[in-house]
Amino acid sequence: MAARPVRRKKRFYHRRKVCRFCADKSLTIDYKEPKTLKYFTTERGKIIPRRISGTCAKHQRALTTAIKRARHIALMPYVGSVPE
Amino acid sequence: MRRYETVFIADPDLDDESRGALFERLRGIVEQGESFIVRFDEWGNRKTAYEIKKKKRGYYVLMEYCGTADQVSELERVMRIDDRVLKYLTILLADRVDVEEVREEMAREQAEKEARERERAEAKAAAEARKAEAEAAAAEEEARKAAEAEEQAKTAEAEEGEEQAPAEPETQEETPEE
Repeated sequence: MAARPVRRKKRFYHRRKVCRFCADKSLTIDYKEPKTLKYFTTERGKIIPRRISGTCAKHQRALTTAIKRARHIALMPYVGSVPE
Repeated sequence: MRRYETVFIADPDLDDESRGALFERLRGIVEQGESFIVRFDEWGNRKTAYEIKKKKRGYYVLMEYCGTADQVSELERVMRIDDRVLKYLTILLADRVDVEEVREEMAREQAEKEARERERAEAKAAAEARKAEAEAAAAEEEARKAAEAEEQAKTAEAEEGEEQAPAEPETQEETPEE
């Protein structure tokens, strides 16, 4: 008898993602503050997509421009160091 | 008039004199006609995220000003030519500015800065006073301790003397009795 494929119940945790900038109004998006922007990039320096970070569309737009500006003026890397 | 903000990275290896000359030149371009500088913030030497012209550091300066588009293009042209500026970034903050409002803001900021400085000076003075007080207290404490120690030593000596003094007559008393 062939072993039946075990049907495993997929366990997804649908944690409600909240836009950090909407939740915390005091948090500002500014290209001059790489510390806050750093949170929204990977270690490689890529911008984390909205579907993962949970940022709302409006703030994601602002975030991308801010990160790109910060990159231009060398406050953030275009290509980050390779994580070991 | 529009409000702009320019961040530029000056050569980190410049000496103060040539850096000052560069800043004066750039300021001169902006400060023409009705235009004026709102803020001239020097962030100082910072590490850049990547090398620019083989340099790992840069002298960041933030310049906020009210001016016209012609001035911006002139400023950027000069920065492109000048070797002392490694990179620049200009951002439009407001399309139309109310000069009076900006002046007010500047005055307010200036006042705030002065207040902060005054506060800091006061805090410093207070800290110094506290420190002096603490030092005086410590010195007093030390003196007191020294005095105490001396006294203790004296009493100990005296006690020793006392202990020895009555012990001798006792033994002397004891011997004749036996």
